[in-house]
Amino acid sequence: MTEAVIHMEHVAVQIGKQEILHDISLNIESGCIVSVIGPNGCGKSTLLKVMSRMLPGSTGNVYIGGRDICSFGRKELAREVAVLTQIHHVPDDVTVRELVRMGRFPYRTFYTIASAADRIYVEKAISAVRLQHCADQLVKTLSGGEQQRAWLALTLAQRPKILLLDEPTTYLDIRHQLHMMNVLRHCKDKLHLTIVIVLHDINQALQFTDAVIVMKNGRIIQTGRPQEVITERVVKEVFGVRAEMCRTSEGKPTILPVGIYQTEEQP
Amino acid sequence: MNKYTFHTTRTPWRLGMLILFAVLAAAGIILSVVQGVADISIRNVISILLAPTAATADKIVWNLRLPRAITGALAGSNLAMSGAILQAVMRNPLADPHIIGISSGAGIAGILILILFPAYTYMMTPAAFCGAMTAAAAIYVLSWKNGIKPVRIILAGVAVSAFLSAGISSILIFYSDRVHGALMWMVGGLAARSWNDVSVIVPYAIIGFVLAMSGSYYLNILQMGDDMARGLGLSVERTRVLLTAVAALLAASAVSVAGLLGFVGLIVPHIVRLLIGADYRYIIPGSAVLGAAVVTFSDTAARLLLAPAELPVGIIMAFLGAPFFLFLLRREM
Repeated sequence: MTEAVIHMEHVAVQIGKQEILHDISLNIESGCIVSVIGPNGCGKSTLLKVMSRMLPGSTGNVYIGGRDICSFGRKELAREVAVLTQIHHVPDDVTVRELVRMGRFPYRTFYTIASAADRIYVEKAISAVRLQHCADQLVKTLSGGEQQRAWLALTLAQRPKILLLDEPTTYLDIRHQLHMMNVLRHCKDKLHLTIVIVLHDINQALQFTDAVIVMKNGRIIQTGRPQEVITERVVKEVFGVRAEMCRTSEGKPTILPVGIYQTEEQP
Repeated sequence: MNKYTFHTTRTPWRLGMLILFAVLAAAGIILSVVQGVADISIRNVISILLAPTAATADKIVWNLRLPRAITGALAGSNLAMSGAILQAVMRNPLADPHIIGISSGAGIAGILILILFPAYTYMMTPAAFCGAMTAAAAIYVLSWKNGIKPVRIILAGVAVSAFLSAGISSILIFYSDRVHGALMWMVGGLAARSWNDVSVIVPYAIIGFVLAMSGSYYLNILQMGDDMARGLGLSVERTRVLLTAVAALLAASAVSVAGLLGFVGLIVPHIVRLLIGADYRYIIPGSAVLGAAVVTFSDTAARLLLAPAELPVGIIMAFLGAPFFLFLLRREM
């Protein structure tokens, strides 16, 4: 077992009177892609927010690379952990390169202007997501998949060790979804990133990730290798969905949702 | 326009627009010095400015028109920058120091000084700043519920603005014998501005401009959404509070010399954004110069339309601004 790059101990989050996360403890190993799956509102996004210290009201301890997350300065943390949130907004007239340049913000001090290193990392990030051909185009003129990759490039320009992605493939067509996941695998290998990714597509979790965290109602139900964790029983328990495990012609497991269990209590 | 060539020409375009705005502002100032009830030719004005004598025309130009033009230009600059900052910080295109009640906060403090403590008129700007900050704080507190929502901000702002206006009106009714000066001040006017007023606003204009410019990159980051900005290492709350303070300072200094001049802070940043784009490193200086141009031209119009009588410039601004506000509302909603 390699070292845990993210380590959480007894983390709980309460917003108003509602407890969103209950007593969560977990370890995420360095250099792997970890997916977080679970039904809507189960606390997946909140979990990512805790890992990036965006929620002030959480209790428990979070360690990034062995260091207490609270001991980091804001910009210092942004150099370790980059986040791509679900909701983000791009002004109408920002080009891809300008957007990616903002990823260098954690390295700026008040007086400095862009350094040579900044420029190199910006170009590297753009080519890592394969957007060199439209680096000078306006972000809003790109397709949804390209826009999402431009945002990914912004987080890569932060040169983080950990990348947290909240449903980066939702709303994309299947080609762009696969392209995104391939880019992520490539970045993980080349930049030695640890990636935590919230996914809705269970098959993407099976196909592309090294470990999976299954959540329900603010608790972790199960963690482990996706091929072992994702079973018909778990899908039933977590989503209330009847699913059949199948094999592709190459023998890889996939899961096919075929129906809903009618229960008195909505899962 | 081809989208590939667009971006190579963009920086020159933006700088060109900035220069154009600056030329307009200069033209506005010159026009307001040359035009007026007393007919003084432009050649005369130039010779007066170069070598003032003791003639009446010289006094009109030096002691009446020039300080008035400069005060108006700087008040316009400050209000426009204040509006630009507020629109970014509150992430609301309708934010403007006047609509949102920040000017009213400065206004009520100003009225109190003007009517109750006329001996302390030199305390006007600090008092107006405190009033503006209190109003801004009230708006944040009222609209804060798990973060900031643009709609809640505008509603809270309108409520704060109405509340403070009621306060101003009741002061005016209680002290109706001392009202006249205050009434002119409430609609926003530049009549009888002197070098004294210029010296009040100049330091705030300079400090405010420097602070706004140094905050402009942070405003750009803030545009991406609170969580993205936080993820990039920006202290979102602290940035909001500091930049709101800068906006309040700019608005308060303008209010303390020009009264409750509305709509400049709303219209100007939008025109600049339409012509220059969404980058605040250009919007701030663009708003500063275009704000000066808009107010000086409006003030000249206010003096000439019903000459020899004179309208407060605030009335002209409201006639221009209200339809523009409706236009924006229809476009945004």
